Amino acid sequence: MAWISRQHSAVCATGMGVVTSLGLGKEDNWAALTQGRSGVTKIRRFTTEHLGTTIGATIDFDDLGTLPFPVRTERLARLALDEALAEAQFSPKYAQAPLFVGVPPAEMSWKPRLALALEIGVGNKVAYKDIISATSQGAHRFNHPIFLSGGIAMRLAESYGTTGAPVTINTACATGATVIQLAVEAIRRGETDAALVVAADASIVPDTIIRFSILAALSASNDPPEGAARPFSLDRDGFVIGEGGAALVLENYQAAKARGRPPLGFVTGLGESADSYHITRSSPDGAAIVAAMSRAINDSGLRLDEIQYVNAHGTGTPENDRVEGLAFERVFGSSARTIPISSNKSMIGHTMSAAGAIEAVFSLLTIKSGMLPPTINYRIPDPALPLDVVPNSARPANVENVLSNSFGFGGQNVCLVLSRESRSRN
Amino acid sequence: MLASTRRAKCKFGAVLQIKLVTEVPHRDVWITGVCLVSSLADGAEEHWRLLQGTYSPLVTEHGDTGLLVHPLPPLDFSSEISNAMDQKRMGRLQTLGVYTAGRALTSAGLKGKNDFLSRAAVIVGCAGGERDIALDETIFADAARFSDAALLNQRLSARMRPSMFLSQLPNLLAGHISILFGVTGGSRTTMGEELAGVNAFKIGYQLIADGTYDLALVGGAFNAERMDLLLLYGFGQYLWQHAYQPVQNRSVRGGGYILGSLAAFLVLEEAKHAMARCVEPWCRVRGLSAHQSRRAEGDVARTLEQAWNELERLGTTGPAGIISGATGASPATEEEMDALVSLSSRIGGARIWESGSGFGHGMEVSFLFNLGLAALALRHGRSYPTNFGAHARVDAEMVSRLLVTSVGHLSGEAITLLSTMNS
Repeated sequence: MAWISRQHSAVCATGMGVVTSLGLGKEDNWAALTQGRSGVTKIRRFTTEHLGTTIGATIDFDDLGTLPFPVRTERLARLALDEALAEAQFSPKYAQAPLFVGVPPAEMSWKPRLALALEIGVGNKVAYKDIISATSQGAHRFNHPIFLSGGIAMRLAESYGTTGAPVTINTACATGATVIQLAVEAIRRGETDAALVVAADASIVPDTIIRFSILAALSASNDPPEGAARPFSLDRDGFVIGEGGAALVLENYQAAKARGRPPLGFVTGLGESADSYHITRSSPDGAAIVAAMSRAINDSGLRLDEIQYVNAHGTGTPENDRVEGLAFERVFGSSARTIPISSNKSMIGHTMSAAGAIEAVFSLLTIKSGMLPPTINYRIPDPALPLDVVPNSARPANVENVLSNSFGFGGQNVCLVLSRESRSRN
Repeated sequence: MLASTRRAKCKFGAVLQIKLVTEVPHRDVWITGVCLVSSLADGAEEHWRLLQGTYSPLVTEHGDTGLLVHPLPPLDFSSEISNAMDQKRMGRLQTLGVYTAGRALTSAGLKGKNDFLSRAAVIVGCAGGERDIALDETIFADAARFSDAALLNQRLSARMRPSMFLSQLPNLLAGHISILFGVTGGSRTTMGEELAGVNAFKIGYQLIADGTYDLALVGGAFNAERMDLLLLYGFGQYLWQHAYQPVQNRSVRGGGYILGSLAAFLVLEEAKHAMARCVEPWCRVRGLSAHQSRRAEGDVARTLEQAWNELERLGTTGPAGIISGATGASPATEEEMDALVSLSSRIGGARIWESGSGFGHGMEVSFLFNLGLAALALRHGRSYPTNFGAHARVDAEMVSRLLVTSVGHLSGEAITLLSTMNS
């Protein structure tokens, strides 16, 4: 007799790396996160005069604050990848696995752009045609690969010896989760036994602050800086931009076992949806978010009551937290009042293209350590969101399965289920 | 395919052999809808009609830069985006993309079919949208004064339009497609110049082949008529700085590409799903191979050969052709062309077309556009009678397989193999 069962291959993480405003590496980050420390400070790397928001969770060690933001972003990606590959015992030169990269679109921000105008103009008025003419003669060649959107992935693929063509993704705030999703899909379909995932974003430059401020998306609670990110609070007033990077080595569990590498946790569920309501706002009834969450849980094969914790998208904007809370209740019913749901963004800010990956790493650390990271700055609860947000202090809990949410500007929603074990027998 | 075998005791004590097979299906993927927009034409069949004769590529100087681009002719986007304010807010790139996407859905008989589209994925290859060039130039004109960073903060805060940022986000093209057309199953956006188009297609193809989705709308848009892009690609000296020459004539003067405004959207669909919908398919997708070589000497040729070796194992047969996305950039273009000549002799002397001479280089979109041209030819069962952009007429032939190649100006090499329905 034979019984054929189609199941997903179990996909586990065998290496993880992370860098945020809280520190470099999993250990420093987890210590700070569970102590409820904030990485948000007054921005010092450029003048914030005339800006409505003067705070951010910047990463400034070494000379990072002075670099063009695509270069800074790449540095964070490398720091995270180095940690993940070392843990997984993959060679940092011949990783021999496909690479999935989540980064912001590359751009020459105003500081270097203006420097060009000054260099070319030398005191005279210049227009684009003059700058183009002067900078296309070879002396500015070095700029080209820096400001290509695929530049980071191209260089990472070369230096880490990855296979195939690297994939560069941007789904706004869902990017870090989308790259994990793509890697898991590739492993599940048998395309590869292992995949490298990295997502990084270090785009705190005046241009970014101004763009989000004009959309009224940022918190303007500049004083004290560490109190600004207040997810789920009644007086929340927007998100705080953060910088960061995270990397994961994901593997087919059987392959990891054969290599003798212990799983750090499993990605057991993937769920996505695209909102059709509005370009920057989720459907007010939460339908698209409900769909993404439900699909991820269904995909994991787990029952609702087996999800012990939700790592929220939790940006701290009035609208996101409202809709996320509503969707949470629609999916989990009355359990939504008791299942803990906390937001890392209260401490590390909104790390944009990196967020989904950083928060997936923190979700796996939550499982491993048995500690729920808190939502800090929770002083005035929102009566419309009667949730257990793990207010202000971390607390111990036995967590087997986490639902991690990432909802992107533009309506791209991705939810992941991260687990201690996998039910799959493959 | 992973298989493991376990022995287990059933309740009567006998030992059963239980074979657990994780077999990932590889389902047939068809192209069931296409829309192409370029400097030549608006619409796939319009391209077919005009490419039956000779034509002169449309190029103009952009602004007074002295640089050529292949511009779009005036287009009326209102058939897909009725609200003029929406078009203004989206900016040109997103408007062009949304328009093309809508028409691709119509060509596949899916427009307005919410039950299908709510379960479809949209995958877009896109960079960022337009900058406010006028605002930029007011700051350039006063560069010394705006070196005072506080003053620059003030100027930008006062003058940047809120919607401009949204029109610059790469993933908002897919976002608008979801909103306007109800494609809500899932949405992914790839970046990365030429590889963006390759990867968008690869992801769409794999998601259908492995059973995750039955339908995927894959595409992108590229607006060449932008000062900020001419600046970016100018740094690397990749732009062709002389009077118009077809791609194959450019290496003598250092090579270079002429950017071309392009948009292409394809509907990929699982075979049985298409049959159930009674939609006439354009062609079959047989396989794709994508790589990034180090671009040492000979790497492009080796990698294209390796890619074809993988695709050759699919065992496809029939008269073949090659559509190359050769950009004109050196040395990538020369290496690609040499490699394709060798490849051609391996597949029965396949004729090689390159589209860059006729339509320009559209970065994220070029590969997708060329796939659309290939799908169009396979639908008609004939190759193109002319080499796009060249002026010498070449007769059309029967063709049942087309290889579409991408060799990025700086990195990335890929081949996709498409075939007619009956091959």
